[in-house]
Amino acid sequence: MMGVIPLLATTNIYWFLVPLVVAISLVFSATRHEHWKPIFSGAMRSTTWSMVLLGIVFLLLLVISWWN
Amino acid sequence: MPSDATMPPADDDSQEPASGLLESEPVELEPVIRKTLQLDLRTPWIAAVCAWVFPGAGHFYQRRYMKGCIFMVCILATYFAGLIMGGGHVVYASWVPEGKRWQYIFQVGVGLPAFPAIVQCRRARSEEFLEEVRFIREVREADFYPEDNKVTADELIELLRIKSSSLQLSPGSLARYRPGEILARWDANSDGVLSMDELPATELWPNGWMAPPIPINVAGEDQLAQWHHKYGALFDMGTLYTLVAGLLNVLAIFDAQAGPLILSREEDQEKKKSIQTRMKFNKG
Repeated sequence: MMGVIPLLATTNIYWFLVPLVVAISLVFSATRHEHWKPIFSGAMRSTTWSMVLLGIVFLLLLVISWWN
Repeated sequence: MPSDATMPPADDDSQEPASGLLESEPVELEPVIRKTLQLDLRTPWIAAVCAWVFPGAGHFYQRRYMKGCIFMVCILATYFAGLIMGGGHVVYASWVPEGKRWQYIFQVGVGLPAFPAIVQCRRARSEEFLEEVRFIREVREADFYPEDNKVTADELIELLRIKSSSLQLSPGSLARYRPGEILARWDANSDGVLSMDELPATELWPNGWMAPPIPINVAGEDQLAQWHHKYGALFDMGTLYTLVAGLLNVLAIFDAQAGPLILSREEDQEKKKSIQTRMKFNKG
């Protein structure tokens, strides 16, 4: 199990946000709905929104870093 | 006392009732037709305690199996992924002046999976363990200690026998931790030649998982700094994952205790309207 650490260390840190956002969206959506259908559609919507927002922030920071 | 939570459905398109859920006949209310969902929360406080002790258990107790599975998989996967990222060291309980692990307050939100940290903390703070760490450190710092860190068990026993008087050991430490006993334990992990750097003698079982860092370990270094150096950004990411897992379980506990936070269609529409009005007002 600990053998995965070197593999994880080579992965870009930004990729770690994806599963975290998915898990947060699913749990948050599950606290608002009772049926599986709205839970998953709600989770998908909030995952997309969060990823788009994070992507915009990422691009902004990338552009700023190019200037410096 | 079993209790029911009756609440209006939000944008639930699905007509099929979820497990543990009773759907009553549509009831006409003023101009809008509203359905009511009757949710049997059984004994809410027991469900809340179960949800805290083990993620998803509260929902299983309420027979809301699907949601229980979602909470269990999401929260436990996040927690254990974080724990593995940090080599098992990101979750530990410590409240000493030199290192307060405030993150543990949130990590303990996952319940049982974070409890071993409390046991490890008690073991790591025990006088016996600290004495052993001190003893090994003093042996390593002694002038006879080989520079390459490698020595056979017999050699070290002999060296200790000759030089033990030069070690500034606290009274009784040699009697309690006789070199032979320590080496016998170490020897099981080596092929006769001992490398002090690799020996797990002062790592609490299993491999020091969830044990608090020793301010000055056997190598005379700050163990927390060593972990940060070894795992780099993964240590922080692992801390974040486990912390978020604990917080997510708090949401699950509330859900088990009071049912889902469903907004009615009217409330939802009112909310949307107020946002639109505010946006128009801001534009104007």
